[in-house]
Amino acid sequence: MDTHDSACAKNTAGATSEMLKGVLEGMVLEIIRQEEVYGYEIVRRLGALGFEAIAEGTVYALLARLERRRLFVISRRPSELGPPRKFYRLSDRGKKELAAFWLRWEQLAECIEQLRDNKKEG
Amino acid sequence: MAVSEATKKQIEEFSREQAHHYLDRAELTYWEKLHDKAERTRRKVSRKAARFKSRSDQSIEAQGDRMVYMNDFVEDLMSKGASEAEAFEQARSELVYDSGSERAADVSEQYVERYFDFPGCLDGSAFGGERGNSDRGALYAAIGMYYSGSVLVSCILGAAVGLAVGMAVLDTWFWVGPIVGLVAGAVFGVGVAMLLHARALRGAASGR
Repeated sequence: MDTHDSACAKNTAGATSEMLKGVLEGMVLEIIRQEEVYGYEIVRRLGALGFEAIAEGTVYALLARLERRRLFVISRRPSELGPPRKFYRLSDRGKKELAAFWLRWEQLAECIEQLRDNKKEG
Repeated sequence: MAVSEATKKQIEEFSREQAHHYLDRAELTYWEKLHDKAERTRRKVSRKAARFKSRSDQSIEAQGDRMVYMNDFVEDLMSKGASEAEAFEQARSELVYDSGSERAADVSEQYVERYFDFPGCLDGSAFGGERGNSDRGALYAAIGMYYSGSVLVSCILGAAVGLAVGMAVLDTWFWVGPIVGLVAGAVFGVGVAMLLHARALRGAASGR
């Protein structure tokens, strides 16, 4: 990869990361809805889905905030490190928040699609 | 791939140092808040003081969460070929508290909670879905009312009973009665308010 390609990849990753910030909360809630997971496992799942640009620190901070908003039911299991490992499931409040996210997403996607179609026609 | 004991120690130390940034101020003890403030102004002094401060359960839990998360991160980087030292340094720089972005996120959440999430706003759908924690404000207001209400009522009752008893028993020293009654009433009022406070918190914690 030459210097130009590298800079371009960096810019693209940066732009994608900025776009993802608004929807990361919904993505994390959806991952937790699908299966009970622990914190770092969410980063792995996001990476496997192609979202490598999302920083590990961002996911950690987001989980702490969502936990404070009581969107999770947490179960603790022993870890070899000492402190228990937290596994997350969605609480009723979390399920409602996720449903609201998907509704907002559909509306947004529809509006953007409409904008693109108008541009093509124009 | 497991990390060495030395790295585990480093992870533990880093996690302890970082944990309190991820808590609500309400979740910290008074000493932790004091420590937080002092750290910003006189880092050296607060580091020494931290050895003596007591810690809340939430603070210990946040440290544990961070340790487990960071350990997973370090192991992940090592499995991708990084050395233990490199992995630790990368995890450390990635997970260090970013006061700017964290505070911005907290402020925006507090804004939503305060302005769009009060009971009168129902499910908050007009603002993008249910947001939850606004009843915290109503709870604090109710607790304040418990204290002021019960202290006021108890003081009045105490003073009235004290006056009656003073006039009947103490003759020229009758004025001592209402004073003693007032103080006893205030103490009784605070006691009753504390019981109501505890009940309100227990109710809130269990979601009722």
